[in-house]
Amino acid sequence: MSEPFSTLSSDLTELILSRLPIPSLLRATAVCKTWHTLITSPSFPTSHHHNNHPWFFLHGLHNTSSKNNQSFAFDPSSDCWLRLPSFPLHSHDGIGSNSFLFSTAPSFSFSPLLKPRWTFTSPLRFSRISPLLAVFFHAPSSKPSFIVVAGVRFIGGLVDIEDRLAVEIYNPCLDSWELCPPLPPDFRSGNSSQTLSSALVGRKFFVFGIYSFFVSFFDLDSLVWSRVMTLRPPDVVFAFLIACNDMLVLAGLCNEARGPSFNLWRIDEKNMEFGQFGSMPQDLLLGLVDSEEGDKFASLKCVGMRNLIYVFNEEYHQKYPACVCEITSVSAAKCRWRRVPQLPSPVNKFHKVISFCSMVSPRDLFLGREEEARDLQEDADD
Amino acid sequence: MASTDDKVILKSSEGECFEVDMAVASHLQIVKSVLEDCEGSSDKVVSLFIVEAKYVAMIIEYYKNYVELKEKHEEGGFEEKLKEFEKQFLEQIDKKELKGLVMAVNYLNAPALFDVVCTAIAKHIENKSVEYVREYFGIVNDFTAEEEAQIREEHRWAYDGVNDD
Repeated sequence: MSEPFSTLSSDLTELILSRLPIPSLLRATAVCKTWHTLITSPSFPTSHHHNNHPWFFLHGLHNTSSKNNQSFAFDPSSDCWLRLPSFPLHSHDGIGSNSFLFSTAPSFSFSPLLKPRWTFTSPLRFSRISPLLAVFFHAPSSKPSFIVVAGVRFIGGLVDIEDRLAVEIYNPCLDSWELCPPLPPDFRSGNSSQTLSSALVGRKFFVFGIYSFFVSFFDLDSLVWSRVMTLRPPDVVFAFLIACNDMLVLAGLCNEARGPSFNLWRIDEKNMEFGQFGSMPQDLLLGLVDSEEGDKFASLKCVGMRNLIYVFNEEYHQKYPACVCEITSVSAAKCRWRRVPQLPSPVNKFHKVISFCSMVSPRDLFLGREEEARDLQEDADD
Repeated sequence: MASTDDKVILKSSEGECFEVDMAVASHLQIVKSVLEDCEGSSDKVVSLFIVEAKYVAMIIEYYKNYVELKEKHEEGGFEEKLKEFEKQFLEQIDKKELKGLVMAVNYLNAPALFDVVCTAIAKHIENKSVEYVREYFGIVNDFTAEEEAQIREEHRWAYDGVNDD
């Protein structure tokens, strides 16, 4: 059996290539024409378990010089950071949610992640910055809909803290926004994504106060808010609500008598009862902070989806150290923690970082081209 | 002691013979179907025309361990033990042999080992440059320089941090 490897059938080649993590797969398209055709074909199997982990995105914004902005993405399957071309944002504010990047003010626009191509929607009734935002689908193959909750409005350059902004839901077929009741008044102290965290589980959009511990959900079918409840495990200082595989998880810092700890709780969405199932190992927790500072844990942030939860330090001089927790068994809620490698140097100094998790599918990366061609055709037909 | 009925002889491309337990050989779909076709015949020799002896030996080693571990850990823990063994098994196979092995396993239609070898090959080329991958697979670049540059430019961010060893 001394034939060269190039005699592998395309089925066999496809089975090998489908096991590659996404960055390697993208490089494989440059190997030869056959591979390029194989990988970019819509029938290429992309659902291999290696690529079923959400990536972690960090977008650093410099407040005066946008050329100092940087974008990084962490692929957990290859365990490496990728330096992305900087997202061309339309404003000083951006939000990432599954597979999309959004800019909400002055006008509302969205773009597929990793393939910047902005689409502007009809304007929001209430223009705002730093809202909570989620992507959902009315039917499996329908166009994406968006829900925009809370956020802050600027009036004459000042933040309007009194206004409770209506929930707005985007209808992609009509290019219109539907107005729904605003976030319940209990959440008033701080209505931006700085103080709120959100999680979409099924058709329920949960909103949680990072420091207030209030929780309520918006039902996407009946378009009403649930009653506000409190979700506060003992000793917790601040926490984030995350949707993991249709399970609601709370992740937060506790100040216990024996010292600080970062814990995970599984939440029963019916009654908001919680049960702790994981705790970050102490050495990882201490590796995230600069031991010189007093309130050193205050800048920890947490994002997650599906089976991964990322915890990182938002302080720039720390170079954003991060670690990740993999939930290995949903039913038993077992988890495994590990350190995320350092960001690739150089890392600039940022005034703000936008962080989020998203799934990345090779299909999104290649489909773009056909869609673009079709869009161009449609534009030409208009 | 197993009777000779439970044995089968696998013959490599060079004509080398390997006597193997049926329990092991039955994991190779091709052996199963050949034996079914000539049921009743006393001759239990299966010629694996295109598979070299060294690959036959590797495949037998894998499935021998697979069968033994499965018996030993019927109550649980089989998958973990198998993973451990697979790691050792792959360590002794050189990167060039992986290519011969995947073709042999594909020909013999042995799903469990096929998955292991495909994953090992993918792992091997994971962080390698385009040039390395071409050389490893013996592929000739049929893009023009412009075409290749365009493809690379499209996802330029994916080309950082590769190594060429």
